[in-house]
Amino acid sequence: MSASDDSELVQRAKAGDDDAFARLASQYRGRITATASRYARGRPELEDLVQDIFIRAWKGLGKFREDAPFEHWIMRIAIRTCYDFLRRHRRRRELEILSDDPIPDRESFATGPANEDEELRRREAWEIVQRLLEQLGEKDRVAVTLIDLEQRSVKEAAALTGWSESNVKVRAFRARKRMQELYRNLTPRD
Amino acid sequence: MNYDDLIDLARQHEPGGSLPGFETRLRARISELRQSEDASRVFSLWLWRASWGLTPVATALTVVLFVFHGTSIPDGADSILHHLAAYLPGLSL
Repeated sequence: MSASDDSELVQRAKAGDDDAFARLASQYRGRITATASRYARGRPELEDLVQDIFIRAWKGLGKFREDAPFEHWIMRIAIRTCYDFLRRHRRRRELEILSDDPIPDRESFATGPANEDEELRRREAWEIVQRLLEQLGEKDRVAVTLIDLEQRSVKEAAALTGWSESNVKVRAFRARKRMQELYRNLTPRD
Repeated sequence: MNYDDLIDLARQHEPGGSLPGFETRLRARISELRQSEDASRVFSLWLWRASWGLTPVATALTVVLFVFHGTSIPDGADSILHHLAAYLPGLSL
């Protein structure tokens, strides 16, 4: 969909046309869901988070001045909503980490059969990474997710979060170090 | 597997997938918000209009109360209210 199509839908949505907003939401649902899935645990949480992002966008549509593409604007809302979501659920996650099953064994994962289904291996890798991410602070988690997992540039991550570029760099670096350390600790020492 | 390979593999996983009923649920929430917004707007408007409509009544009531109350206070015999009340017809001080 072109920027002019977006602009037309935005204008209509601003004027109170809910169908236009629903079309915008359908258009960006995939990208928003992919981003939100880096922060949510499980399907119900993901559904709620994606809904919250679009509701926040709907409420804030009147303030969208269209000096940037709609995609940039809604991605900023998505990242901020995900960050708020992490903060809101911090306590619950801490309790879950204490009570959950241990992180999957790094060695058993690495030595799986060579012909193992690739998607299964990806999912297992994602589960390990997710558990590592959950042991980080919210800001560090957002920074490392944007830079390492979504492979965004520092400049882009700074624009999405509203933090300075140096702040993003420092946070991503610190989070990466911490995750590497946690991952190393998964290997049983001889 | 080293850390970088792990991240690389995790990056390829797309946990999002489809969200069945997404649009229906979104529309329902928007409609709900719109209704509560409308109700709140109507209430605010009513409150605003009612407050303006009641203003003359409330002002008149306050003046009358002040005047009558002023006549019944012995210490207020020299007050402006007391003198004002003296001009009201049918009112004995």
